[in-house]
Amino acid sequence: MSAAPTLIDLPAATDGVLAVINHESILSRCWQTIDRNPERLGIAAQLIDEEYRRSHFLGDTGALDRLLALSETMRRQCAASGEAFLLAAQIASLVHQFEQAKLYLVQAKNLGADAQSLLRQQLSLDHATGHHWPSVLETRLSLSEQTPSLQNRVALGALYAEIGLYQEAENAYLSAITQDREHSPFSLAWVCFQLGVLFGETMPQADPIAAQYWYAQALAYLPAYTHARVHLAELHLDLRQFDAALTLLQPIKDSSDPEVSWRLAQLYVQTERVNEARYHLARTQHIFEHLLATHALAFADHAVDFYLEEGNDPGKALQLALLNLDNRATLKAFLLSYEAAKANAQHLMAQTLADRAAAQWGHLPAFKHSAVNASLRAELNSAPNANLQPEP
Amino acid sequence: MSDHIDGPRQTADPVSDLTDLFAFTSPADPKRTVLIACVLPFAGESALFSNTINYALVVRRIRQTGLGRQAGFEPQADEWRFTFQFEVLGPETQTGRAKQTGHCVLPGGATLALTVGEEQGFATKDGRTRVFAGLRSDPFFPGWLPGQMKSVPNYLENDNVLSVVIEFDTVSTLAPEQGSLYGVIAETTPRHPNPNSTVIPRFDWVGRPEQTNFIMNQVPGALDIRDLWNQETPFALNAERMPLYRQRLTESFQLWDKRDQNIEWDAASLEAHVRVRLNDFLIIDVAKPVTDKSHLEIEKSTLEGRPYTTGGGRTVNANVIDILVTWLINRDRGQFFQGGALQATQPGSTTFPYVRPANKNMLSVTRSVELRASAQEVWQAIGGFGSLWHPLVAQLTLTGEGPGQLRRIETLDGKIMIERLSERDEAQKTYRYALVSGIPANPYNGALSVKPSATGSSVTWSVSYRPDGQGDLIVRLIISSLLNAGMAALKKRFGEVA
Repeated sequence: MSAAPTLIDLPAATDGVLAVINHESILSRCWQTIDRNPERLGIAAQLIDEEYRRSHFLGDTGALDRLLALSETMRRQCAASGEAFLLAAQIASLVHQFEQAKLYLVQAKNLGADAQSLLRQQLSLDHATGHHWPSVLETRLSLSEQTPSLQNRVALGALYAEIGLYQEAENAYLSAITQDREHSPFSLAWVCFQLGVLFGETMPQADPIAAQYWYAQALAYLPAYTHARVHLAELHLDLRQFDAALTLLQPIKDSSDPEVSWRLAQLYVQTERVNEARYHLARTQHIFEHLLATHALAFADHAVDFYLEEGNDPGKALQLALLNLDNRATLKAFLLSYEAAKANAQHLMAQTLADRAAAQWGHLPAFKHSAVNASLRAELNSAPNANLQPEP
Repeated sequence: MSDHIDGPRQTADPVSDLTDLFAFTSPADPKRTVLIACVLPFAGESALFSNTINYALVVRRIRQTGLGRQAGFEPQADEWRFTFQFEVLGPETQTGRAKQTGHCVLPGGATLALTVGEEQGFATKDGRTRVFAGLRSDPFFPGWLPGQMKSVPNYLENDNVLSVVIEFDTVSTLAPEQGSLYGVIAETTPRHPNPNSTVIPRFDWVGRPEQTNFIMNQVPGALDIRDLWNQETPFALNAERMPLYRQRLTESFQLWDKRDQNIEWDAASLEAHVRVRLNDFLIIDVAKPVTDKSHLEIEKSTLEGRPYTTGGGRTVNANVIDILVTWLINRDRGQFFQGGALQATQPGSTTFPYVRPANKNMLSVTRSVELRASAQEVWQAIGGFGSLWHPLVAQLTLTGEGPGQLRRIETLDGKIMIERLSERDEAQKTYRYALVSGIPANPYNGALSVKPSATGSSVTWSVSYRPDGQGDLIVRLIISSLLNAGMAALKKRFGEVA
């Protein structure tokens, strides 16, 4: 598989600076409107999109607080509206409160919410929690063919990547870029970022050159894209390109996204700037603790990595990993829990988690490439059957 | 709502989302024609145009091809295209924030440079053409929720949009002596289309208002085809997809026609109506008067088999929703369906650039109280628009009924306030109103609601406003005093929950 990045004709998009200005202007206008007219659910739907953008692209973790406040207002002011509960389910999913999202979906259905919207939200929920993945894949494929929008193609690509069908994932992402008519730098940067993650992190044999290329493209579209800066900086750190990493992180050093401070801490450790490293490590820990106190389910998986590494608290990492696994038993959640159990020398627990992962996800190519499988093979001298049929 | 948010792609990239198109004769100079297009619904105060999108206003001469059941309009080949293009933000200046610049490519290829937000606009040396681009108050005012045909106050109140305005000398630009009937559309297209792409290079386009939202998207359970429609080439729709659009419009018109239980459109006239609407452009006859009432008159007269008498078009203040809804439901043979919106937040002006400056952020005062009495009991006492319960009110008289009803309040100290009812919902125990006069604020919107609570009920009274003629300190004091006195009276009457 090759990224062939230089052969891809990337479409033009609105300048990223202009797009962020417009995003902020719409966001502030919509909040003013919803404050005066909380029953305007069309505005609420727009706000969810804009706050998601703030959270995902601009690293503003306060967006989650605002979304939950919006959900509470909608449910109170529009208690008889199925659409309000549908939006509440969407918000609950965004903050990874999946059980709550399911309850809201039931209420939305009982209150007569639009059937197509209910199906779309249920699909997102099933995708996020790893439930019914064969039918999720079937639906994603069908949606992508019927309505080949960027959003549908990226969702399909993300599912392929999770399953371990990396070539298919790449194809879906590339088709999202080249065949769609998107003009929003947010959307196009998002696809580029997904390709960066695919090449840099998801594939069993990472391709850091391709990953760098795609993260850089994401930033070309949207210079303020916090996650892209963090991921690209991490690649630079791996290559000991400290100046390049600092150039990416310095402009966003005050971000409320804990990964920014964490990456800066790693940078300063490697460059032996002890005071700065200590400061950013403490700041990372402080932000994680604050976020876990208010949005544990949303940040549990990110925090596991931190506490297994510089956070130096494997016990807490295991606790969070199990919380995350309980919330969504995806293969990724199993792998995280497995790593955390091993880090705590909980070998029996690790073995149990590996067995459970094999039983639930052993048929996926992604499992075949995983550390859990390697461990199982080493211990059991046998590999699970790697075909694509789900377990009965 | 006109063309706002008319499809998933528009939601994803609102800076390409055309919200409205206007075409009219200048009220200031009848020899000049004005075209206006708006984009970016819910634009905030810092909103700017995309640097990679063409914002184009396009005029074509059209021909009336028949009357009555043979009604139709056919676009001709000659075209006048005005394309606005904008640049990335320049560096900040010492005097303030950076300004966005751009230009308008005129028919024939000449360009007219402009700076976004300059109120006077920019004119060609010969004065023949003048352009403006910038943030304005959203001129659209929808007063119906189409799914339920529920009358509501303007739900775009206080919203802003980005507008491009072009005003030109009619005779020297359009040569109307060769035919004065024109079709107008606005479209957003990529400024740098991929030459290798087979994709239709268009984000959005608009002809008549509500072609997508009120008409195409109001067939229950039907596939949302607005994205598909928005990518069509105006004046030349794809022939293969025409049956799909024809079927959708037919189904939609039949549903609209049934809403008053009377069928006004027989099969042949319905077919003619669909044919006219499928040629989706705003029709204007520059040789006849264009007024706030003349929107759709050319189409309607043509369908009724009689000569049209006005210039049609669409002025900024035309009540297009009510005109359209009435036509769709009763073919102008019954009552006029007046929705709950009487005008835009700021009605259009009679001088360039015709659309008003952006609405500033509203200020607000809100008071709530938890009472021991049930919501029903409290609503009974205060829920009528004419209820006399406030301790500062000496006398109250009502004029009219339902939305639009006026109340004249005389306070104990002799001040007079007049307020207009915008909406009242008995089931939700809430009403909204707007101030007409009496307090130095404009706009001024109030809402009173009663909700059941665990201990009885809660009352919330909120006012959003902008000071007008006095500083905020004074205005806020007036409004706060009014609300505080009301809440105190309710506590005394119904008992406050500690």
